[in-house]
Amino acid sequence: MLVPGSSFRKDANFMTLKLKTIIYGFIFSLFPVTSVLSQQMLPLEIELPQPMFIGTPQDFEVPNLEKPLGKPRPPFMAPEGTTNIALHKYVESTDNQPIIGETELITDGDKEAVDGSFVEFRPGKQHIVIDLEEKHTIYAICLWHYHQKAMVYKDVIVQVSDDPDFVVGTTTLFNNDHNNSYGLGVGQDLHYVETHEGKLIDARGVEGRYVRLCSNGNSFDAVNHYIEVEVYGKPIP
Amino acid sequence: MTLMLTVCCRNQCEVPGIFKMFNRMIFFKMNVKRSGTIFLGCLGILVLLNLQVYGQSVQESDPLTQLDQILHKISIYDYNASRGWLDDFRNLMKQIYNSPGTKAEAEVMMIEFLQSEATIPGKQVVCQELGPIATNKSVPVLSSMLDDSNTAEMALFALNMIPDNSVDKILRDHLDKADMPLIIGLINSIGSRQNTKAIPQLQKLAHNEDLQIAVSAIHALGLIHDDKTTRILDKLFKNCAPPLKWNVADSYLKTADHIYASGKKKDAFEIYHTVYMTNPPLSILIAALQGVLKDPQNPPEEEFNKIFQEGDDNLIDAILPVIRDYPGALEFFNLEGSIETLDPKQQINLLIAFSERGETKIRRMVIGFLEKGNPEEMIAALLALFHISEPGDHHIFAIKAALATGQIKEFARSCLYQLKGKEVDQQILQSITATSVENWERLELIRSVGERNIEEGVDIILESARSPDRRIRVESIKTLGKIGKPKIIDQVIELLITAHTRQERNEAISTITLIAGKNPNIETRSDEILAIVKKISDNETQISLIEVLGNIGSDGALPVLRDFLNHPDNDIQYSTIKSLSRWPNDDPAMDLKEIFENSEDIKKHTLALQGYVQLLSISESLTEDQKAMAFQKAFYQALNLDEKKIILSAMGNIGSLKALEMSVGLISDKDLQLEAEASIINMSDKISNRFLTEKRKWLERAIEGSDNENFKNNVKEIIKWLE
Repeated sequence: MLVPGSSFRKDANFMTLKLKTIIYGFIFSLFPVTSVLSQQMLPLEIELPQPMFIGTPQDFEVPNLEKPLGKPRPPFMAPEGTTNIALHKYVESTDNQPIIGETELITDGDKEAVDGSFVEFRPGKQHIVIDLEEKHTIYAICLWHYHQKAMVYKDVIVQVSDDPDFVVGTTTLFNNDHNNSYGLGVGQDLHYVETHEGKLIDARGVEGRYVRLCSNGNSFDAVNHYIEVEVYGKPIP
Repeated sequence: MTLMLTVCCRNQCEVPGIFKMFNRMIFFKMNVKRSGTIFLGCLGILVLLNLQVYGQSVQESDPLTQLDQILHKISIYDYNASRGWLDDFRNLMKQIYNSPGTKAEAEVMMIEFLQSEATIPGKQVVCQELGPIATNKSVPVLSSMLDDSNTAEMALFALNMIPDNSVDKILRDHLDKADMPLIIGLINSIGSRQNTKAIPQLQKLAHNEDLQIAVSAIHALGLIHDDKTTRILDKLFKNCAPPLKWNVADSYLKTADHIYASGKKKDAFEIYHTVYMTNPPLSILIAALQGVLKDPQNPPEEEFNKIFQEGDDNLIDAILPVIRDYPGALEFFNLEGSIETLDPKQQINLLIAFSERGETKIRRMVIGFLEKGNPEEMIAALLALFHISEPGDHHIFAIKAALATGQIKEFARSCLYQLKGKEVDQQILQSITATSVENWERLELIRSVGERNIEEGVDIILESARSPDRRIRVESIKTLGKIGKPKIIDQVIELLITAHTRQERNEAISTITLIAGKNPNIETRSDEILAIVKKISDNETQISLIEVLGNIGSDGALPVLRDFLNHPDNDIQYSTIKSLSRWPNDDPAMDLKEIFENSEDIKKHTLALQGYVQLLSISESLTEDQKAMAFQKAFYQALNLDEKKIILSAMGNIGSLKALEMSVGLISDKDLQLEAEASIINMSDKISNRFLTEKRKWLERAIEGSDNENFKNNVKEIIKWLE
């Protein structure tokens, strides 16, 4: 039976419920932020290599290309004590016999785009996995594929997981695979031009031991390169 | 038939035409009287006979007959037409050139051709081939062709190759009346033929208002190089202003070279000095300096000093090769004095120049640069040291490779790998075992064993693979992959079993795979591993060996791996699934299918599904439609979106209407819309256009079902392209 005003009460109850949900949702969504805010935030000091080209990059025939910033990247804020936890860590790759260099170069701290500083993997889909040796809180990942000339790498996917096979508990931080060629889903991130600044990816404090980086050739040819990958984070106490 | 073919050949008739007719005749008879099998057999014989007899007719017929036939084809040739006959023509002309008997007749035929109504492009081709066999018989016709702007250039080309004096006169006569661009060709021809009677005309043309004509005339005077041209060039050099002056200088120096070669060295030196003193552009200056350096009366030290003191980098860089080739240069740069006054970059460039001629006296300075130079100088010093390397220098390169980074490291390694000689190999092996060598150097030396492929070093490397130093062990295991033969596989498996770290294990896995791959018998490649894999009690080692079995992929390993799928340890099961997923064919596909159909372990499920999709993708036994059906079934077994995305990605790579239909149906699923759309775009060019109507129908449905404007536009483009 319809009681006058019942509709209003229902609506009011519903509104209360909805309001509660929003407030709790807001508080819970702030939780990781507040935990981060409780720490002192400092600009991440990323040592940059020598730039190898100047000016506006050539016109690439690459869809969904990010516009160059045209100025230095703004500082990235991370909790005090954040360091490059990937330095000298072991790197595995799908290509056991790189065409040039070796996987050790990816975490050796040398980011210069010169001979002897980069590894070149075979054409097509290839990925590397950095083993951080223990679970860490990760705030940022900065990667340099190859910045001797303006190039765009295809199907760049960056993931963090506790599982070395990246099957369970995997977080995807970046994905610009627009045609799902990797089978990890269509990524909405933009392609970008490699520069000496590298690509800085906000890891939003994700926790994990393994970092996987995928690529599938570049705008110039089908091979894959890495100069350096830095993972900024802290061990979990 | 044989008689008929013989007649054809003797009469030089159109042999293929006759064959065609004959073929038709046989074909008709066969259709009426014989069965298909007999017909095919006869047809085969006929084809063979055709080929054989036609081949013989081409090879054995008279070259002049062949020439006649080819000229007939060339007569109608136009620029945009096929030149399929060109190779035959060129080969024939080579044959004629080597046969004095046919040369004269061929020339006559070609002259007639040039006078015929043949096309201009055809005449051009003939002129190119006429030149080498042409005599004064060709001169009148070619001369007349000079008057026609359409044929002048080709005629000049042929004329230029006729050594007869009548040609010189014709060229001189035409020089006075020719316009651009023919005049340039005439001047060049006159110069290359050293036509001295044309000197007055060339002298006049050297003052022509048209710079191109003047430069060509000056160049031609330089080529003629007699007393008269020397005087003309001398006068021109003194009176001309740049830039023409430097063209004159170039010709003047060429003349000087000839004068020097003829023995009048003093006259030549005078020219070299004259040009050198006028501060000409760099290329002329270097050419003049090379002449000046030949003069024993004028030792070049003063010039070197002057150049280095002035410090013009471009000039210094340019004269380095001159200094390198100057016998007394090393004494001049006594390496204790004047060289150190130079800029470091120039010093090192000079040292490289000396090292290229093997001057070992520069060693001390080179080593100095290795110790204190900047990166660029260090690389240059490494190069110089490489040129003058002595026994034992492998230490220097190995140490540099170990301690440096980036380009220097890479360059030092490259020098170490390329040091020549078997004795270097022996020294490297000795150094690896020497206790005096530090581990960081040993590391580079071990690496060099692999890069230099020092196979006799395998025992030493096997020993170093047991070193207490982790880095040495890793590098040694890597090196064994390069130099190891299948006979050492047991020892490398032992290294895997005793590996201390994951990195070592991974390197051992790669090395065993590489070494097993060197066994020519595919079926026995896994034997050593199969013999022990089940007996191993350590999980990590067993997992590594399972991985190797997957990498090798020989059939004998499949039953063993299937057994491991039922192993109680999950990690071993995961590893086995991954190994089967890398299999070189789809043999284990059903094993993986069974796992994901029955397993509730999400990791096992996903790994098996990934592997199954991978193996179906490479399957050569399934049709595209069968693959699509299998993917569809797997799709409905998928436990989550991630697994469905894996399947949609693989579907995009097969050309099947069924796959297209399935992807179109998934557009409405908001969680998979983007992947379904990507799959449609990816597969659209893989589906055969034999199914154009259906393909179009599904693409149109995809447009209707999607709210993604970008996707819709892309599909519209594809449909437009299909139409």
